[in-house]
Amino acid sequence: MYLATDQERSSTEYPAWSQIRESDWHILAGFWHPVAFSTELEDGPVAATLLDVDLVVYRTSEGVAVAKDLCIHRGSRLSGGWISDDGACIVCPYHGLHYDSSGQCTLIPANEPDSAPPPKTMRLVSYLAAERYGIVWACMKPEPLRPLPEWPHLDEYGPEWLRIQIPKGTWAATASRHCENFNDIAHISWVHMQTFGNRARPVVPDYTLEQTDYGLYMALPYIEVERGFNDDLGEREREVFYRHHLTYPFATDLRVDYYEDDGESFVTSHFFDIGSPVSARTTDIYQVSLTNIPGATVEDYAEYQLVTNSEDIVIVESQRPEEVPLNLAAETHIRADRLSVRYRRDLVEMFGLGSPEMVA
Amino acid sequence: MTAPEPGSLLHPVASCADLVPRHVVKARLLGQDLAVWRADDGFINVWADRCIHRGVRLTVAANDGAELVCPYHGWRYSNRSGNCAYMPAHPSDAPPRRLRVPAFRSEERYGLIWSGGSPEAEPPRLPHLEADDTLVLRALPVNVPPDLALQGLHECSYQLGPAAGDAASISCDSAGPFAVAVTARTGSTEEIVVHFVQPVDGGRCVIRPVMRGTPAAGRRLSILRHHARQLEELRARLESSAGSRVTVRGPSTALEPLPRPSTTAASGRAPQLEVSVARKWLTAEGIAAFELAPMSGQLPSFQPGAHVDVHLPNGLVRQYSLTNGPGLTSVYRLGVKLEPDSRGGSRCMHDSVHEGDTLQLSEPHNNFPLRRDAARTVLIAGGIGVTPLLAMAQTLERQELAYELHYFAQSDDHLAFGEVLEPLSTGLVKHLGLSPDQTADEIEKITHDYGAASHLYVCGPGPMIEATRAIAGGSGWPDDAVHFEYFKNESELHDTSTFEVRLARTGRTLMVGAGISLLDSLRDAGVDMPSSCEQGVCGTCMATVLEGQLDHQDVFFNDSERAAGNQMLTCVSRAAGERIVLDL
Amino acid sequence: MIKLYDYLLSVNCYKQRLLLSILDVPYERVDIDFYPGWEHKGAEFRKINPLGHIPVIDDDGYVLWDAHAILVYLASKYDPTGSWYPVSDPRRLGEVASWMLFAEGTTNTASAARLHVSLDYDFDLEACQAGAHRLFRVLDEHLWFQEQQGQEWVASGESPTVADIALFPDVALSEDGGISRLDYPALRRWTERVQRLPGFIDMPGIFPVAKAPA
Ligand SMILES: N[C@@H](CCC(=O)N[C@@H](CS)C(=O)NCC(=O)O)C(=O)O
Ligand code: FES
Ligand code: FES
Ligand SMILES: [Fe+2]
Repeated sequence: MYLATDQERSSTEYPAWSQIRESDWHILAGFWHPVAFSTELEDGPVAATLLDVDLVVYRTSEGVAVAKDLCIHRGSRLSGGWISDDGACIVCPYHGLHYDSSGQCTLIPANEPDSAPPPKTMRLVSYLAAERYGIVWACMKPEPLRPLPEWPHLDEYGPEWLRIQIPKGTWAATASRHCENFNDIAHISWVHMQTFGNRARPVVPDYTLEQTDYGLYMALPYIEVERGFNDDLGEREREVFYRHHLTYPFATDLRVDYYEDDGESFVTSHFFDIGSPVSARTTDIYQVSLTNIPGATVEDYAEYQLVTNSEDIVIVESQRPEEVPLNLAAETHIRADRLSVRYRRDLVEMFGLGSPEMVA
Repeated sequence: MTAPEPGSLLHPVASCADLVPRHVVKARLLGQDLAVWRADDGFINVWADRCIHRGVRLTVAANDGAELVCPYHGWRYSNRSGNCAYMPAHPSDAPPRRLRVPAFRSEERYGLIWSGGSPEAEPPRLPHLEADDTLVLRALPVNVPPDLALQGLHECSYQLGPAAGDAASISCDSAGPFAVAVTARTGSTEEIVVHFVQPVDGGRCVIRPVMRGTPAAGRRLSILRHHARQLEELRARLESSAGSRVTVRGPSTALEPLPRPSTTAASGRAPQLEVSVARKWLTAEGIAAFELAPMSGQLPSFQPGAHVDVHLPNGLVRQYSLTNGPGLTSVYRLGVKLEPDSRGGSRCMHDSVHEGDTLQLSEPHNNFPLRRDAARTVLIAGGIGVTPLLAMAQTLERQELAYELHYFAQSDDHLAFGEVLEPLSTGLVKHLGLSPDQTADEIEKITHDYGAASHLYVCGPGPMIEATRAIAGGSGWPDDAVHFEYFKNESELHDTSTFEVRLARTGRTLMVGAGISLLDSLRDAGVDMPSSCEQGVCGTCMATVLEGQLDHQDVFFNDSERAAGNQMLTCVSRAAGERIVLDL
Repeated sequence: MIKLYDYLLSVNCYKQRLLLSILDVPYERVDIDFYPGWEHKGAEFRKINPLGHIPVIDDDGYVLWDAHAILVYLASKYDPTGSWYPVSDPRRLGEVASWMLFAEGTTNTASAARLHVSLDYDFDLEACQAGAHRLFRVLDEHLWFQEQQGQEWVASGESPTVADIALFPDVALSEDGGISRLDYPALRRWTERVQRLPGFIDMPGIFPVAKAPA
């Protein structure tokens, strides 16, 4: 019914109800994560959850902003509010307090119009926010551990490229399980049998794997089955080349190259995939594609990608334990798993994720 | 009296009728998720519901009658042992032996499947029921803790009475810590239903009623319906009265899987299995066949192409290939040809080993793994060399993968294992009574058109293997498409080139022979080394190196770690020089 | 030729593809731009179906909507054996009708939960899941008693009916909507029997089963 008189406004940044281990939470909070597609902000502020913290994401004339979804006055959810007519502030739906993009309260409508401006201490709990690639990103620590993924061709692309934004999905799986799956080669011949998988080619060659300043680079050929999804030519094999650029911790640029059936035109597609850790076992999936396949359409591409995702999601949601074991002996690894082994080692060795519990 | 720990007992997890062919039942016991399946040979497997690769639930795997196939990357797990038999991403590797899904007890009684982690516990034996005359009623999952369900069963026994009418006198007694028996008497007739309670986890259970005796066919359905209805009412009452009081507690003891079937170190060449000769017969001219059954427990699983080392009564050790197809897991079946110039191995098997005798074996090893992804698979057998190829042919046949088995023999009388060959007829081609030159001509014809993704496996006398390799090579078969196993029972097990390993902490020195991994050598010497992938991927078998040059063969280390030279993976890497010193 | 207004990820469209495949009837897919176009809600499509729902079929000018109604039509017209919609057997026909109505319930609970989770539809997830469990419990008990009487399908008789098709994907994809089938062993056996029917086709999210033993 009541909180005690000695209960402070907000005692720690780590949400007490989070199932993410506290030491891991502080590390993950130091990375940039997506909190909305830019297109979602067209009609005003939206709510998001990142690492179990409820956020409001809004756009003012100053750009995008992210704060705790909590008006400091009486705790209403700001995501239910709107942007002021001058475009400068988010307005709380309860008593109309205005906050600018830095989170500073700029107007208390109940005060006399000539009263002093709200004090400097009256501000939202705001976080670092950035907008790039049509995605709004947030970082909950003042100093990000790593920069945003560097995908210049998604910043700027010529007219021969088509950009496809896939509807945001929510997976009941951890962000790392999702990320490993997106970068997993061996499953394609098993899981993607209605899209591009080839059951007759299950062998994984010894692929290129390099550690880079952003994470990992993997490259290898694969022979997909083209199932005539967007044409009437029927089933046929197609030799493609995959290049995976994995930016730690959860963002991948998968580049797929192949020659069209005529053997002449060489086409390229990029599948950008970012998992955003909503909570310990829930992940929002942000995907954008870029392709120069002549005649490609947004509808076909989006449908194809959604079908692909729905092949993956049932598998990934069924993995146990839900958390990725960072003790390598806890699961079995084969040569095809070199990427995921390196990924798990780096999460531990570079960032300190999965460190053993302190015993008091 | 204190109640026994639930984890020390066996509990029902399914009814036998649930285990229809080619199906995997999903169950949960004491917080442990289980995949329960019956193989075509009737064996019931109760496994942890988790692929050891990336944790996908095995209750979504396909049961092909002999193996479960995980849907994520297609790993196959064998009936009985739970060993991983095949990894499609690396088809030419034999999976390491210790890769195994944790398994639990599996017993049948009263029409139910019983499981648990205790190696000793038995399913209850109750005075109320007779083992082979019961009617399993409909089971009902209930969202209350087991103790509340047991209490509810006691209190509601009146309602759980007979289908026949209400004149009965009803009594109820506890039938062990997790069962309530309800007895209804009318005159001289008595109806007994024992309600077993399967503890699912802290907040849930399944009530599994079993009735004594077999009712008349005309009454069966009405009895089933009556009890299902009564139990459904009980469920509704239990769940509503428990309501929000139910706090889901974890199980008090975690369910422990059973230990691996063979308890001795799983590597090296010491005998690890004791078997008895269950059957011996002459399967062809000069070829004795043996079926070897375990003295206790299960035989370790094997892959097609595998062999065992047989420790003979006369002290010799000989290797024989297993002819078993994937369905045959209760015995190892071998074929042994009497070699006229035998130094005593085949002579001893033929003359001195009889039905009922005991033999010592190694676990199966596989140096001749079969790929299951080939566009064309050609098996070429010369005489007794057919044994490993029989195992392969049966595996391919079962998975409906095309193959040709070319069996070269002197005559019909020399064809071994006719009963296995019979059902293979589509892929089998017999070549009888050919001279070496004629044989070469035939092999030429078989191999002349090499196509991509074709694989050839040959086993037989040395000269025939040599000839086949030469002919296939001449027809464009690349080396890695031609697989062979020299069939030479009389050979020494390993050659003698070695490097020396000094163990700094214990001061011991060992020699590692060619063909044996450092990991196996350490284990043979009694060093307890952990491992997982045994392919140089996971780093589990790492040792710290104090001295010596290394021949790294793993894919685990990056370049700088490799250059530092202070750590090595003992499963694949070796000394580059003659000696290394390890911090062990 | 039959035209099917279709979307690959819709369970109700899949029910039509499944029956057409089993009956081996050729048809032409008209892929509806569900996303990003919301074509099924657009004015053009509402001329075909004012409700703005798919699937819809157009069989030589005969237009019909509502998934379960289309199943009835397709089976009646294109199944020469008359077994998928058994008009000549009033009792079986009654059962089929009853289970088709039941399937409206599973569609509005189990499949709605899946839409909520995977395509961000605005449904009350917990209510959908609880509703699905209530129905699954009834269906599991029904199928268990069917098995006790040597019956394999939802309606009585030797062969499956459109009721099995109407229920199948709602059940088989339930885990997508967070509805576990741990407590419904008879349901799990029945979905595998459907998957073994000749002509069965997959939808993403349905795990393959092994062949029945010879
Ligand atoms: N067939 C398309 C589709 C490729 C595609 O969708 N790739 C992603 C989608 S998830 C992928 O392979 N990711 C790894 C995976 O999860 O399968 C192409 O290659 O042009
Ligand atoms: S998770 Fe089962 S094979 Fe990979
Ligand atoms: S056991 Fe995995 S690297 Fe040696
Ligand atoms: Fe995938």
